[in-house]
Amino acid sequence: MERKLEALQEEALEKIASARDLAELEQLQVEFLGKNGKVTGVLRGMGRLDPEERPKVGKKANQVKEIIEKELEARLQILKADQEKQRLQEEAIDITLPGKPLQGGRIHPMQLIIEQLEDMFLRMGFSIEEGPDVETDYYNFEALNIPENHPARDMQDTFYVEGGLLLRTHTSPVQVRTMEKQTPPIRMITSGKCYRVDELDATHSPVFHQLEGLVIDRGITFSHLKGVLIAVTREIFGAGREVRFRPSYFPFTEPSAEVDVSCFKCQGQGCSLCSRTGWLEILGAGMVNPRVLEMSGIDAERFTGFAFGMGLDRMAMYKYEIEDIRHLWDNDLRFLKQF
Amino acid sequence: MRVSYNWLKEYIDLDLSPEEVAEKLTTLGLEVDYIEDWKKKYKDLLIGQIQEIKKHPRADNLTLVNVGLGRKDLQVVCGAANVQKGQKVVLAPAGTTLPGGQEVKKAEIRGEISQGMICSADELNLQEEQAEGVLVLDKDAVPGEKFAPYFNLDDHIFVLDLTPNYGYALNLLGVARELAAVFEQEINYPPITGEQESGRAEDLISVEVEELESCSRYTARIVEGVKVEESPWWLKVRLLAAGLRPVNNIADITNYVMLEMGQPLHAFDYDCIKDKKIIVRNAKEGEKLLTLDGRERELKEHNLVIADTEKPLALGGVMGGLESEVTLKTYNILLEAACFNPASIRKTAKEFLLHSPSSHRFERGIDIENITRASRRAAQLMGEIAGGEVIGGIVDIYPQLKEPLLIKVRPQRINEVLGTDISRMEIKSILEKLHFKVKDSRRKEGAFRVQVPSFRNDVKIEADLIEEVARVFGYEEIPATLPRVDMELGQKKPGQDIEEKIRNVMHLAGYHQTFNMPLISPGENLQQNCSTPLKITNPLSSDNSFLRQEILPGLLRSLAFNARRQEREAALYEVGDVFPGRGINQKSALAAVVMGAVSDGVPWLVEAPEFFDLKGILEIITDELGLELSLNNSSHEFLHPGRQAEVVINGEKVGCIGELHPRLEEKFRFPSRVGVLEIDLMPLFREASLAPNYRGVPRYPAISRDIALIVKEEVSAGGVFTLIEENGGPFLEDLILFDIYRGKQIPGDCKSLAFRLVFRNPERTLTDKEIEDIMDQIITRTGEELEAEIRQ
Ligand SMILES: [Zn+2]
Repeated sequence: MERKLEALQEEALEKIASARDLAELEQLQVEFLGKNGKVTGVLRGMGRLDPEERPKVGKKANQVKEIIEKELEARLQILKADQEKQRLQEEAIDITLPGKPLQGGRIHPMQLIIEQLEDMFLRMGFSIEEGPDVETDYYNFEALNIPENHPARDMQDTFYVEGGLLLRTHTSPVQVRTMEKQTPPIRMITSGKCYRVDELDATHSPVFHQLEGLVIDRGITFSHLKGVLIAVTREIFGAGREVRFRPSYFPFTEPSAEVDVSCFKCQGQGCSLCSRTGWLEILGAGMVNPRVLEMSGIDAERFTGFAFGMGLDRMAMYKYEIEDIRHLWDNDLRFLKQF
Repeated sequence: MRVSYNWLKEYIDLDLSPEEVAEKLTTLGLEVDYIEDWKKKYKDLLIGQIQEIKKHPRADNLTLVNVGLGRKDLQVVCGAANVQKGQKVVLAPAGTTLPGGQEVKKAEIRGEISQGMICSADELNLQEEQAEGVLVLDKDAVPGEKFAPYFNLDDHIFVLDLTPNYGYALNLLGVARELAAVFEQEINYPPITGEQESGRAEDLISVEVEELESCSRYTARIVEGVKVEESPWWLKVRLLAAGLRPVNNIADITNYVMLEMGQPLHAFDYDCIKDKKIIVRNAKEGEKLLTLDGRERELKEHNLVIADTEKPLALGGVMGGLESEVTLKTYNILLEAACFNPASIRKTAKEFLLHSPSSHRFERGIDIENITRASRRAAQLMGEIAGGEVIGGIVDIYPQLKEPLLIKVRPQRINEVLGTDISRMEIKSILEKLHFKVKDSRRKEGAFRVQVPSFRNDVKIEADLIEEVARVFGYEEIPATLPRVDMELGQKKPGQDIEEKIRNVMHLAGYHQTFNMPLISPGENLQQNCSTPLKITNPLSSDNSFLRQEILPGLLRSLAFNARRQEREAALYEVGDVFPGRGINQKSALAAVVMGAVSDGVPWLVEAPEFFDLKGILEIITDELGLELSLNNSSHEFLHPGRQAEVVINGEKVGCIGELHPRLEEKFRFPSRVGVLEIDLMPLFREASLAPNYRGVPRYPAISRDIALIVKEEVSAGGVFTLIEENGGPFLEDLILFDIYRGKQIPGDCKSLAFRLVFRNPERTLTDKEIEDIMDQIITRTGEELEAEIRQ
């Protein structure tokens, strides 16, 4: 009996070792350990044995059963691992094939500039105000210290609209409207479309965008104007940029300044972008003219303020190196899809 | 303004490179646009002497000229008729470049070598019109030497871009004065002799000023016996450097003095003045004047004229008249130097489109105290250059003397505004360098009393003087600091968050953002029922003569632009402002266009992909913003009659959606159907909510049932939808139309609509029985009301 069991064990182990797949293994399980399996058969024949031998043979039989079970399990693990490995190998893909295309729409570069600037000023605690494109002479000129028949009106060739109105030539009327309805401290920006009689060509457009800001409080100085505008300029054009302030003229500010940033393309060496000057003109600014404050009902002795304005089209053209202002209006898909 | 550096150096000793001077001018606020390098422009030109002239053997109209350059001679083939032996001329040797940029090459002309070119004045850029022959220099020119120094052409020209407040710097002395202030230099004023002002001038002319408001000072001086001819070269070069065209010595002298001292002058032919009387008056309505440019001007009453007893002679300060013009025949001169009112000059100059160097200066204000000196200077030059006799005395009508302006300036305020710490001493010194007279206060902290010089018409209040101090102190020297503020949240503008949300949806849906000009032509308006758009009274062209009331016209222009460039698929949108009508009236709108949309899946998406693409967007937007969307039938003429709708949001009509009418598609040459959408955003800004409406995660499972209903074609899906919803009971959570079928097993005039119904009770699991009851109810009701049948 015992020898028979040993022979069975040997046979089983041999067959298990050579089993090639899970099905074969399952068959072996049935063949040896199933209800009618060979090992089971031996155990069933134990009744015919001498009762004294039974425990011994029973023990042996159980040992054999355990050994076969263990071998089966071990072989199963190996075969499973092989199978998995093979599957994973078969499933390998060509990772150089293109990804799934996303058909999302693009943001217009003008919007990108507006959002970057608005976001920056909101972070500094400025509020965003708005005003109409169709304006009165008062808000566009008079209240900004630009009287009728003043040469400063030549700086802004105006479109007039029926009903004695005009299309605003700058966003500055919103400053006046804000000063009229709010009391200092005021910290605001506004942006939008402006209009001047200019034929459309590579560098001019009858419609363009400006962003304008105003700060009014006690003790606001030209030094603050410089501090804020340097911070703004470096945020847009990079931390290393030089910023230059030089005297200029706007009827609604006094003193007035023009702000240049060192050309980021040539690092100030001079190139076509900066007309070989090394500087890009980006901002007009100044301390709000006391007359303008007073016209809007703000005490010019108690409060001072600064204002600034920039052309967003030019800003976008600088930042993205857009060569022709008309691209901003053509809405050519070959252009739009690059932003 | 154009400023010659050589000329400038006559008034101020500067030992600086042109670049250094330009830099300083710019930091003072006199922005130098660029520097014209004449030294470089004229560097190749030499003075030559004509040694010998021979006929060209093979060309009658050409000569062979031997030009001596001191040590060597060059042979030049020349076509000019005026060359003569012994003449000093300007030679551009082969291999050099002319001032205009053309290269001079060694050439063989009909078999004869030409080693250069003898230049005419126009070839040297010294006159505009073509010269009759080569330029002949005076006898003192030295052959072989460079030509540029001979004519003072080794110069640099600063091209200044002056803002309107720098009227006082529109002349050489004004610019010199600015530089003198920062470099602490003295000015060398031009010598003006014979200032004794007595003589017979008053016997020769009388002046009457009727309009003192428009002409606050008028002076007249007489120069007799002038010889009007071309100016000497040094004078012409000065004018050329300044960008003015030389005319004759008298006109050139008036321009020269204007450039030097800033005072516009006008010379009349004295003998053309009737009754030897000048009247400064307003024109009579309809009165005519032939101006110097040869045009007859019909005058209006507000135009100021300089007249004699009979007729107007000139438009005061703007342009002279042809009849009293100084010509080669003129013998006696009446020299006018006056001060005209800036606003009146500006009005007249604009009206007649006569913007001249004179009107430019009058508009910005001139120095009323400098008039007689400028007049004297010009008369003196007329004596020297044109050989005239300056008659002593001047007629000077100046009844209301200009009082010098006194401004109170607080040094402390200057520092408060600038954020600086400039001492009283320094402030005083800066102002004095700029020719302001400063009277210090007796108190230590007291204000200065500052007297403004007569040439500074731009300075009127304390703030103006703060700027004067700042620009001389140097903007670069003012420290940059950040203000200390009371903390406050920055607020976005109303509707901005909602607009951002909408733009995000558009981008996710694949629509590209566009910017379109709000200017359109009247024919582009799509909606016939709009009120009249706002009209621009001075448009650039009729294409841009109205303000848009809708975004779509511009968007369609953009779509057509892309279609012309072979784009077959395009989805564009704009969120922007429109101008509904009269007055200041503006609101935000959303418009979108889509062409060649690709959709697969359910049949209606295949049938009208553009329409349902846009409808899908509206559904997402309203869903995101917590709004109710519905579409009503509409009849817009610009839209496909069977594919359009009125957009209604929260019960309010806000716009339209549809497919462009095929007629318009053809007109724009779109390659395929175009879907359009435009809605007013103001109701959305008002009613939208950005907060998500969270209702908890369901704890009980949902049960879904599909049902296909066969209905007549004329029954709309929406009608079936509504009926199911009404009868679906409180637990109908979701209702989806997932297919429409026509064809086999369905009668020809019918269609089958397949719905999925999803039920859920938040309190417990629903039983099959409950669902069956509801489904039965739905089937019964749709059967009764719509004659719907179940498709098995
Ligand atoms: Zn550059």
